[in-house]
Amino acid sequence: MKYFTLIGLIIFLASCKEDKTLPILGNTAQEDGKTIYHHVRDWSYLRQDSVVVTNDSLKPYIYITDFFFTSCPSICPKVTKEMLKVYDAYKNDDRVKLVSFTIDPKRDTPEKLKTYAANLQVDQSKWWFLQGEKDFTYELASDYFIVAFEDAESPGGFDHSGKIILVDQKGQIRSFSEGTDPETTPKLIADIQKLLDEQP
Amino acid sequence: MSNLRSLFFIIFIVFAIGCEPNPFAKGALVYKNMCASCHMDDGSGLGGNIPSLNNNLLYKDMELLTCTIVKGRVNLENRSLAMPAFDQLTDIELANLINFLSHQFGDDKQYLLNDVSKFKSGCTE
Repeated sequence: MKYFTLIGLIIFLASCKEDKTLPILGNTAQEDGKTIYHHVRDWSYLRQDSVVVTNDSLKPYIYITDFFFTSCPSICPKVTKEMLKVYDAYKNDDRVKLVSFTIDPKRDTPEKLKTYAANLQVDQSKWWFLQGEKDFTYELASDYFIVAFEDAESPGGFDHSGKIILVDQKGQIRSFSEGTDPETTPKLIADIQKLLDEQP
Repeated sequence: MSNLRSLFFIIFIVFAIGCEPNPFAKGALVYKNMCASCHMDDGSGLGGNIPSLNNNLLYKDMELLTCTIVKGRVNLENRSLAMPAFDQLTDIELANLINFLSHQFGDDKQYLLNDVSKFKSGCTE
């Protein structure tokens, strides 16, 4: 009887052990008997140093991303503040990048993005600010589970959500936080470490 | 009886102190609705893009602070953002905001409505 109790306790404790692997978020599909996970489409953008970068450029890294615009008078500054906390937590870890896509490419030229980044006093080889075609960016945002569109009624002329998204090397979404809610940032920072721990 | 009176008096004083309204509550509300999304709840701003309001030099020049709020700022040196104008604020809202800013982030000097109206009338286009 004692042995049964002991075995029961061990099984119970094992089942309570926290899952160390992050889930892959989004819908899945079956193709030739294989599970295809949701992933971000291919993209090509102009970085703040006017160099063209693509999703392939980020393949060696995991990255944190958000969609914003520099003249945003509503949620962007708060979201960027949370991005800065993530930056501070991983600024010395070469396996992590930060990527901010502008949803206002007309005004946010690479030059302007460069000034914006310089004013944040961040390492610009670590935190990329990207400018690309507007409508494509809105479609791309949806791959990251972010809503972004032009709306004359919204502050600054654009409406968008403030999520901060964690993406793995395969372009799969692994976690996110609400950039407007600082209380969700520590979990994202912890999730980044979990994803790093998954690496071989 | 005398003890009971004293007790009532103490309760009255405690009650009166407890009910005293926060003189900066209205200014705090204007700040929360108009300013905090950029300057942050704690006034810390965002690096060099959005200036911190803590001990900002503008508190040394209240006319300039008033005009910055009412008229906004453009072409700030070495900044990629410009501050929008908040010309929809009434003089009372503006006075509440300025007193809140001064109390929360500045030297805690307080200004009367007339002072703020005068600062505002001095703003040029």
